[in-house]
Amino acid sequence: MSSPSVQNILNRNNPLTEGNLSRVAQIDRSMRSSVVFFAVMSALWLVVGSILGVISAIKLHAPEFLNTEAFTFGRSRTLHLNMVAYGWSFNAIFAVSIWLMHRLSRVELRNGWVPILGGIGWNLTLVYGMFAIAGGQMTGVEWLEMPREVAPVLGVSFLLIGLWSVVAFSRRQTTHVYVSQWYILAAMFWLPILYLVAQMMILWFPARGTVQAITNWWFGHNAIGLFLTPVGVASMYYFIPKVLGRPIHSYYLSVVGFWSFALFYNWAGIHHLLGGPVPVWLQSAGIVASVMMVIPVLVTAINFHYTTASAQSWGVVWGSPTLRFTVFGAMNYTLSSFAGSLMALRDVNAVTHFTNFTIGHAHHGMHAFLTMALFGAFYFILPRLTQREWPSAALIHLHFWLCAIGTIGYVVVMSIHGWMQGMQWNAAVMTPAQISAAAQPWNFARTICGSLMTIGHIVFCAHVLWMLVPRAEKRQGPTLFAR
Amino acid sequence: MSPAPVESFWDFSLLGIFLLGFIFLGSAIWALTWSRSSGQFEDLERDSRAIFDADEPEGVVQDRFPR
Repeated sequence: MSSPSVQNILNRNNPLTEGNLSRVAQIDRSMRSSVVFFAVMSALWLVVGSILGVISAIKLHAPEFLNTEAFTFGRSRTLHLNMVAYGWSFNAIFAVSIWLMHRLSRVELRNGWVPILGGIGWNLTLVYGMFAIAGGQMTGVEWLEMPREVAPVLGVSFLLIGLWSVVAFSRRQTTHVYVSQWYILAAMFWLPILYLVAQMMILWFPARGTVQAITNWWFGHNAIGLFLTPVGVASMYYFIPKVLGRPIHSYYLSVVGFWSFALFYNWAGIHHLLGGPVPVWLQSAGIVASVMMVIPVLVTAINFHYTTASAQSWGVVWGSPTLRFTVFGAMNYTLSSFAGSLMALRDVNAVTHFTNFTIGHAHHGMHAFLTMALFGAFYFILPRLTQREWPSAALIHLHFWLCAIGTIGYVVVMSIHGWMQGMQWNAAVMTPAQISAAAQPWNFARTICGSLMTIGHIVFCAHVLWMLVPRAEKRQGPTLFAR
Repeated sequence: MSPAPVESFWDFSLLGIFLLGFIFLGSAIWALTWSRSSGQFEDLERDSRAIFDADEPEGVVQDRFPR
């Protein structure tokens, strides 16, 4: 009997027919249309959203740039935020979660048109929402800027997409539930309730007083923490051991990590309102939860580090597109989460609040961690779905370096400047005009770093589209080694 | 004096949110209890290998840069 790896090589040399497809290849094939659809949509949104981010950044040091009503700073920055959050991150997470859940449940995707239908609804609604924002029809509630009429369509679309992960789980052919499945399943339940409550309490039947602000940041922080982050962590828990061919260092710790994550994250969002007119006990609860988040983060960091380092696998990490991006994301998950816990402390928050430090932190989490981890997932998933190798190793290297230098530069620039800004505001020695003038070199550096990331995103998007054209090299088999 | 309609709705929706909160708390407790009773924590060493299979086995690196 042939060994599995030999069988894979044989599969590559044979034409793909139903008869010689392995189980994994059959599962992959069933998901091809749905996952590729979401991957392409996410890449397109990423490019447009990043360009709008650069436009917003340029306006901070050249206010006359693109001086039209639709691209004022207030609108272009909001467009950037919504496009990269709801366009890039959500579409990418739909793709990765559908793929991971079916792979781990060992079941094929049935009725793949349903999530695609949901995806069409999701993306068309986003297009409408973006035009509304550009036209000035926004709510003014951060993370919920799109007009409220988009909510029902986005909600139904999400259910059509997210439900398929739940259906795959319910049909699973395995007895054990892997830790990545826990994270994805929980995320698919957490987000609808967050979105429903936030919409109801802020936009449809507004709560009174500061309850709106509390709900706003409970939603805003948890949309990241209880939807985007869990799928990012699930992806890392799958791809790091999978690509290395070695189980996770301590599965016990991963279970502890999941349950402590589920317990503490929900409370942390209120640290956005420290010093605001909200009950002190609520602020204290937010601080405690933010600090307690050290437990799941530390547990995850230990696991990823020891899995990668225990057998001196750094050469494998560097030689694999998937791991290069994923491990970069894992390291920054640890760093950005620890920074988040520190920023929740009252003394630190008194300096960093209302400064560029917070914006640097947001990019640390959303780009250096999440986006890089999702890139890593796509580098593994797309060749297996399309049966095509990535057309160019050089483009992958270019993509990595542009994004890595851009994102780390951005975080460093914004953190240093944010701290300086906070000290300047608190000292009350300089006038606001002087503080703004002192920010100009930092704002310019911000544009440079943002541009590097954006060029990296364009490279990635072009590479994905190049891979999908029929001329790209076609390979066969359930796994794809570059030989 | 009867409360304004919006306030009545608000009281009602608060009740709904409390109920929702309890349902979610109950779901979390149920999930934890189910995972224990279904043996999810019994053999963690074996469970950590659930991601490997005959097509993508343990001990084989699964991804490299294309040439």
